[in-house]
Amino acid sequence: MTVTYDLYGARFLCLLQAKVHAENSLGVSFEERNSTYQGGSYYIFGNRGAENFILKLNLDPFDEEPVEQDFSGFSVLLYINATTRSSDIERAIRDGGGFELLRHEVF
Amino acid sequence: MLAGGPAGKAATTTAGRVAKELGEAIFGWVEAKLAGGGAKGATVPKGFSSAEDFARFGLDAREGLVKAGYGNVEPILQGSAVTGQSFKTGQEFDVGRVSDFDIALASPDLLQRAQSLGIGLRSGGTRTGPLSERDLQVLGLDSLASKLSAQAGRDVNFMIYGSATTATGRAPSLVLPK
Repeated sequence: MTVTYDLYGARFLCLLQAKVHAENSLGVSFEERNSTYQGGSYYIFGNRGAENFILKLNLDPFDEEPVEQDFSGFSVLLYINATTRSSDIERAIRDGGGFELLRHEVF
Repeated sequence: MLAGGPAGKAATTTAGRVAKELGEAIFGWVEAKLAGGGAKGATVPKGFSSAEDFARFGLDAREGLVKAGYGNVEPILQGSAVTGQSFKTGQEFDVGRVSDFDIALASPDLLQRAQSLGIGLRSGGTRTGPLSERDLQVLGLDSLASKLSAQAGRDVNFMIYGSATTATGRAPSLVLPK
């Protein structure tokens, strides 16, 4: 079975605005977590080892430069990990607005 | 530039930053030494119920790394499990939300492998950023991350460093027990 890892970015939303936007678009409820490596507070839906969504600031914890260096113009990142329904999710996010698809990789 | 620079304020700021980094490096080194001798009498970081729990986690992490083909890696706990509070907000570990375990994987070979797989390096090529799940997948570390996360009851994040010295010099650290 192939799974897909997609990365979306938001240019003009703060982390909390992006959370509300993504929750409305995807029909999910994110949980707050804290991690130094993830840049402090971030949000997750789902669990490791299965499909999960991670919403975080595009900020490296130590050098404070964008963690996704190829997408430095995006302040917030939304990772759609290990999904088998990439197209449906893309449609939902596109309809909700606010995010752009930055990367799409199939494994 | 330290003392004697043209702008007093800039020099002070730089000196302060260097002093802070040195302090953190020394703290990281001392903590790493304390943990290096095993679980007995060692510091128990936040998120572990006992020294034995911490020791078991360390052993499982090391065994998982060997199983994934990375036998020469030094796993080092960093983040709020070591300091007890969020580096950004000062909020205490696990208060109001679940705090993750952040683990540095120190190995020149693993860093080189990451680079060869297209994972970007930072800080002058001395480390990666926090590994995304896509990165874990291409490195073959996704199963280990999932297993340790399930075992700990909280997510486990990884960052790769070229050496343990660089990792412990970057942030307060505890080497996982052997």
